[in-house]
Amino acid sequence: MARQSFECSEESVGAARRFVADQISDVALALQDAVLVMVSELSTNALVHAAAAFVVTVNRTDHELFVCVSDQGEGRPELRAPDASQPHGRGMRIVDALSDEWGVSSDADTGKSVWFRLAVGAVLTAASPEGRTTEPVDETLWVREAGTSSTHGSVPVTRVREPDSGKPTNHYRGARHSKGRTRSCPLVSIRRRAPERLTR
Amino acid sequence: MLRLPEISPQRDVVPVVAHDQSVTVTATLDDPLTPIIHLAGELDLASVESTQADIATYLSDESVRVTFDLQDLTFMDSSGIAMLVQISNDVGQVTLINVSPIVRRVLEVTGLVQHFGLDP
Repeated sequence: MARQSFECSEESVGAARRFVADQISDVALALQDAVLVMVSELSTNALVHAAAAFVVTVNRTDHELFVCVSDQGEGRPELRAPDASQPHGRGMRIVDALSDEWGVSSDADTGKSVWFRLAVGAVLTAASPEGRTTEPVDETLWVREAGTSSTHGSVPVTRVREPDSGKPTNHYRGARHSKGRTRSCPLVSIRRRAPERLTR
Repeated sequence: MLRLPEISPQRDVVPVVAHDQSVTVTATLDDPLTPIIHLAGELDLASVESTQADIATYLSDESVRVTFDLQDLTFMDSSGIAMLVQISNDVGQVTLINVSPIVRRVLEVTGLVQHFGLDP
């Protein structure tokens, strides 16, 4: 696990990217690019919305990457759907689309933490906001079923929807990767929704 | 008796390092109505304000379409998108060329591919 604090300065956004880049230099370039954009978004949120110094934590296993940005400021991230003429409000939309899973947690010591998780080695494709998969490959949309929650040590039950058939099938895909995983942030809420389910 | 060193809570804070985070803006102004602006560097929260100011020097009231060549833009996040949307609102049309895979992907997931003149 690697952890670094960054001061409340605009230049810290780039510094946070370079810190994380150093931790993931062996990962596929496309994944690195996606991770660095997400780190940039969460760091920017800490500075702009929380106006606070922030801490970046990177946790890696063989199969996945877990990045957490914590600050002591007010404000919670929002998933918004701005139209094309609105300049702002796209940061968490990008994190939502590029990560496998993200969430927010609060802790007395670390403050508010926004985290994302990404399977390392997964083939990632982009889905348009209309939910249309632009590349017909391994894109699976992860939808947490109602009533399940992910906390320390639990195995998240996820429903994987195959875009080809549109038929939902249940998998316990989190089991292998979750076993023994230590998280630096307690997971309180989890949001991972298919883009087309978002309300405008 | 062993004395532990005092640890300042700020000790591991990364100071602002002298890393060049500016974006270099150059332009081709063959037709002032449709300038082509070339961006090089990392476009994020730290660089967006100065970048936008530099771009403004190449735009006139007559500009109807701005083309941004992103060939040498090594990084862009939603701060850069916000800038492009603002310029699009002011000028009328913004077209992006030489877009990297990750920037294209970010534009796809934010629904801006066609807005910036990229083929869907």
